[in-house]
Amino acid sequence: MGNQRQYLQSGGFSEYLYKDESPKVTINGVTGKMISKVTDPTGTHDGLPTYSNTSDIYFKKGEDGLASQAKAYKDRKTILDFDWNHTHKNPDGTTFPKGTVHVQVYKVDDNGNIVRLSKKARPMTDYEIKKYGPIILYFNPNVKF
Amino acid sequence: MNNTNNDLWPEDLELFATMEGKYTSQNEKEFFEKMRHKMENEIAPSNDLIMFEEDNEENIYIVRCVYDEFIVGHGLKGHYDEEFHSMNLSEALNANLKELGFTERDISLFDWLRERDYKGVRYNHNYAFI
Repeated sequence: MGNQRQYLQSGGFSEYLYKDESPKVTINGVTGKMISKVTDPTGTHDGLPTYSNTSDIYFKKGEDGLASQAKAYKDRKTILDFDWNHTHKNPDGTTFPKGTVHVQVYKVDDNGNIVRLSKKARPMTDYEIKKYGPIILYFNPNVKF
Repeated sequence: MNNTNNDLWPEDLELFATMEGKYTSQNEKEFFEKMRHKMENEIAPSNDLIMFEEDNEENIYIVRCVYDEFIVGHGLKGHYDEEFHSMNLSEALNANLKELGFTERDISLFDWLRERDYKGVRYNHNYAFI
């Protein structure tokens, strides 16, 4: 797992920036683990990486030891950001309380350009809850969808 | 037509308009101009460290998320108080650091930054690109 500078299209990374904080698990066909960054002296302020290695989803460890955020990947590129560790408000006033997932959708093109498809966060869809819900609850049973 | 990648919140458009031409120093001008450019054009999907807690005496940190969300926090070496997560720069700068439990002094983040003339602010720590 890593970012654009380390990403190798042929597989893996030129440098591994993250370490495992949990064993890798597969639940409901979705494989993921909790990770943290190891290579930056500025501590824990980084988010989850843009690219995955062999997992479908990564989790960030919160202050309480449970997952505080997740990113899902397709073809090793970020597609979905599931966040619940803060209250989120959209410009139209829609609010997601802390503890409830809000979703940001991303696209990463072949040149490594990262695009957020909308400024408006949205709730998880029924499909996403069915697919990703079980593994999210495995890493944090307090999360609401 | 808007040629930027992210439309700013009305509060931030007003903030930038209010600040323009009224900067108290060159460093303040640099801060607002570079923040606006980042917030409109530079995505930070893995966050962008603006102030590192070890670069100031009161151990305050500021992190930009995605485009224009900000985290303001306090602590050292992984031991942090509860963070304040704002949806835009205006909210972050208006945050009262004493009310958040981060400082003894009654001071907003904006006044705190201005007092130190933006010393320690980083413009090159977008984690997606380092």
